[in-house]
Amino acid sequence: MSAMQRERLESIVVRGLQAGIASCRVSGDLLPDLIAMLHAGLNRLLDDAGAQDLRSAGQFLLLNGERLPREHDDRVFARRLSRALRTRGLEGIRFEPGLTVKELGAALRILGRTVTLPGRSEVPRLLNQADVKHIIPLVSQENALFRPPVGPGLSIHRRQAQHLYLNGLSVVEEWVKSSEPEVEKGDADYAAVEAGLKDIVTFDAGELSEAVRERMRRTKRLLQRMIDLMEEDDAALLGLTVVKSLENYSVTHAVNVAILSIAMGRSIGFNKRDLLRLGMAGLLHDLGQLDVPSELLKRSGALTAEEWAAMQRHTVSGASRVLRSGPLALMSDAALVALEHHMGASGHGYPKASSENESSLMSRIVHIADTYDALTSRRAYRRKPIHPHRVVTWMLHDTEQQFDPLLVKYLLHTLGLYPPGSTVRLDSGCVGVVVRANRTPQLLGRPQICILLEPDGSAAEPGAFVDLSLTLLVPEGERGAIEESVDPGELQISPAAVFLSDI
Amino acid sequence: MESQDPQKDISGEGSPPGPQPQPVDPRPVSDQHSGVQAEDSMAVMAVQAVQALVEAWWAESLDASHFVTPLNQYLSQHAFLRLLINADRLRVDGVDVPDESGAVAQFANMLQGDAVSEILFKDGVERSEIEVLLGILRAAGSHPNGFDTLATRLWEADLDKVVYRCSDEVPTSHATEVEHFDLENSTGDECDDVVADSRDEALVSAASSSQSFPILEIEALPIHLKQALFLSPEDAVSSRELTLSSPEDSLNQLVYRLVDVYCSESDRTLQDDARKLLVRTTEALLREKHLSQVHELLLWLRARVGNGVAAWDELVDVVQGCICAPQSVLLLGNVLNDPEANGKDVLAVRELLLVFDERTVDPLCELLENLESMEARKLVCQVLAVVAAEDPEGLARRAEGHPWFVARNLAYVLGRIGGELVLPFLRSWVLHRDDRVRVEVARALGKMEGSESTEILCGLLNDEEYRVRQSAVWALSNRRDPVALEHIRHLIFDDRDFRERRTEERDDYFRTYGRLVTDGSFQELIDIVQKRQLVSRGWKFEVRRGAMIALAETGRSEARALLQKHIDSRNPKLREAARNALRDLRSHGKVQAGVRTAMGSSLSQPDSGTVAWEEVGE
Repeated sequence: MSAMQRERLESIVVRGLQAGIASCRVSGDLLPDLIAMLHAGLNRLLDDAGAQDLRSAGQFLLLNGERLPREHDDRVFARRLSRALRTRGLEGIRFEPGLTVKELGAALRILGRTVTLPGRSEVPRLLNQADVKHIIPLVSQENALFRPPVGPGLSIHRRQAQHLYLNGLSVVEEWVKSSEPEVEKGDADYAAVEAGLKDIVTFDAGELSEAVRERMRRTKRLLQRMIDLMEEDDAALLGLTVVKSLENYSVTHAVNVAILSIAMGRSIGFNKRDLLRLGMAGLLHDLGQLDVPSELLKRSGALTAEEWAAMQRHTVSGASRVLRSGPLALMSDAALVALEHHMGASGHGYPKASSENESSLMSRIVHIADTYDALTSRRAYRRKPIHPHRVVTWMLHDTEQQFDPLLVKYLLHTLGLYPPGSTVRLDSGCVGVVVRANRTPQLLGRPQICILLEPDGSAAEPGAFVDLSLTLLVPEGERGAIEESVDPGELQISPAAVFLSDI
Repeated sequence: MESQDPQKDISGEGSPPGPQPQPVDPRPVSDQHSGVQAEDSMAVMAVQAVQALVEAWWAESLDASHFVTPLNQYLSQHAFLRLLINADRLRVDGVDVPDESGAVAQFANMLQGDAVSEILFKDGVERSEIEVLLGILRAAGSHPNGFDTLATRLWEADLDKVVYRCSDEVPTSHATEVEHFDLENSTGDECDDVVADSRDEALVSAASSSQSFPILEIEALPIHLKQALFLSPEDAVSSRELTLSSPEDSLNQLVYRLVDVYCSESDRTLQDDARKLLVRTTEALLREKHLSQVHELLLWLRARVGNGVAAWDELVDVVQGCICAPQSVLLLGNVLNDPEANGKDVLAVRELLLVFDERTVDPLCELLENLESMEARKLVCQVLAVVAAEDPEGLARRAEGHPWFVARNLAYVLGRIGGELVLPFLRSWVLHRDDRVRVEVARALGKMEGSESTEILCGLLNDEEYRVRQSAVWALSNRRDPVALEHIRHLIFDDRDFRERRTEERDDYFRTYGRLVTDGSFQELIDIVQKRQLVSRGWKFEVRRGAMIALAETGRSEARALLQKHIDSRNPKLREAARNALRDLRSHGKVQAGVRTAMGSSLSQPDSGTVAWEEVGE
């Protein structure tokens, strides 16, 4: 067999195994074509070189000691397969000559549905029960507690996310510093009119000042890279929205809202260009807060009617600031969102508008993202952030129709019932922070959790992790579940630290 | 690349005659000596493919197939081709791409300049994708909107089989430090009691109430409640359609939402803010030539005027005020003045100018008086020509009491308006005390047709001021009117005073005469040059010289033959005149094909109203 033929077969095996496990996990079954192709590929390798050892090594795979994938396209599949093996408590699998289609199908179904509880891997027992003789599970020495997929030092995505998040903060700070308040115009000044003549005659967006162009370029690239990263692993960035800052609330809030909005847009099915528009709108939606006196923003007590009115003006002034930041074609979405993001789905928010015109889709998305992030943040007037789970639940029960009910469903679909950053207590007594939601509807309440405290209150081993979605097949008595959401402050837990730990 | 010879391509040297040597190792010498054995044939193909890419980028006449063919040859044997960019070098398949002409370095610099560090072509890449890529690469550096880079454009192109990597991370110095945000201490460590206030009282009280919403155990929910939670095709909410507006729609929605807020908001300050932002947005729409949108907004507002809500009436005034503002006048005038302006834009401007009524003419005249830039005043005139088209009399009346240059600009506007209605006013300004106004009157008349304007122009040929006469004769050169021809003929052949005028002026008359010439008068010119026509003594030589100038303007072949005969004339002045005329005739021939030829140095300026704007402030 030539090297090229072998590469192609390896590619088929990696893709086939990954797709098979994923298919069994989601739909419970396999496509006959898929299993036939995978079986044929594996058997050719087995015929050619005997037993095949497939092992997980970080985010790579080793086949008979050689690193995979050789082809660029297979990287994602290899990474996922490697993770799938590890999350099942396996270091790898050995395929032996004589493998049948039936054995392969049974093994994939077991791998797709199996569970891993701290302390043991169920795979060997289940394979044995199913009489699978030619697939040997290689049990990890440390399968009891495996590292989370976004664990420190392991995930390149996590590092990218952290870097992007910090860049995001820097970009927003730049917008804040460079955004200038509206200057009142005087009467017609002929000299000024003539001074603007060159711009009129030769108007071109390219005539923007270098500083504006640089800021726009940075913002665009930031959002593009965020969108790219979300395509690969949205949990890495979504997890970072747990980062809040009281002192720099407006900056972290802007980045968080952009991330949450993009994530919702992805769930809805926006294309990349539209996600970019949405991200820009999310990032700049509160630029008008710069026009609100800082003492009002920092006031811990209730506001008077006049002060509340001043607060409401940030919507119009925000739209004005956004519009002055660049060409209309690029800023129109962000300006509209800045104006409408407090109007609410029913139009009962502010500024007041006739209810006959629904606010734009982007405004409704940003409204939800904005509210979610604001309520889960500590503010001067509300020093206790509200638990993310409680905010999502409240939005679901929104009887006043402040939020678009369909978009709330998308929020739920994006974040799960226990959004990343939620601190929860499991029925085992362990306490942890949700790091990744499960998208399968029935599993929205069963996220992946980084365990921080043991039942006795002692610190858990670093990297302790549980994926509640894998516990469905466990006997009822052993099934893990979230018992309650808890206040991280009471337990001296910082959810943000889980996501920022290796910076 | 001139040759497809792989040896030449890789080594950068020509292939010697005779037996071909073994393929040259394309790797740098250092790599060759280090004993690295590359798969030569693959490396050769990779290098060829990359060189073809560089050539296709460099020479825009080459299409995508120039690169696609060698690329596919390589990809047929390898799953991907990875091109690495390092400073001014390109590296592929472990080999530096040779750079004989410097094109590779330029290509690499272009990519590096936009932070692209790697491009990877995957097996199955389509020709259409390569075309898009080439388009993006060729446009690199032009930055049409000022901030899109190669990286942002590649991202937006979203090519399936062309992957790129960028090194445009924000420099460390820009990155914000985590400590700066005091994140550890701001993520829930200090949870005090809830302090609710009017900002989100409802939200806080509802969301923070632990009683209201028990933990949801989804598995335990009945199916209809699950549907209420999840996206489900059976659920009415889930099946609702979500519509995302385009950026253009967002712009429209923004404007209408501002109107909405202005009419609905009870807070006066917020209402005022909305009005100001509507003004700014309308100004921006005008500035960025979203003219149709402004027009639609205006129509939409006007349709609601008089429905009992005062706000609508106020907003119509607000938007109209924007359109009539000096800056907007210049913007609109610029569209009218731009010969390449989009027809839709011009139409929208004309519709918008209907906003201007009789009351706005005075402010526009005032604007003319106050603007110092001739270009700005010209734009105002373009607007006035549309606004005052129905009332030229009113316009002419406004010249009174303004400085001379306003009268001159208004004469220009009258010329732009044209038609019989404006003639009486132009005729009255023929006697204007300022000759610069009379110059503009002559030009304005030149744009009109009809015997009446010809008659006025012929009268101006006897104006006391040289520049007025010159403008008049230029204006007449544009019309084939026998009256004009006869009038000029009379002047140049019969009028003794004409002989006293300066040579340049007389030459212009002869040129005009040549342009208007008929068969009969053409023969007369030939007779004069050949001395077959009796000419007054003492004026003979000048007339023959002038006839040569006129003949050159006719562009006829017979004129060429005749002038040719006289280039060896014994009279040096006639010899020079014949040579100059021949030169003019040749240049006349070169610019034929429907384009009106220049009439010599003094008449070479096109119609040009530009002169009208250059003397303000004199």
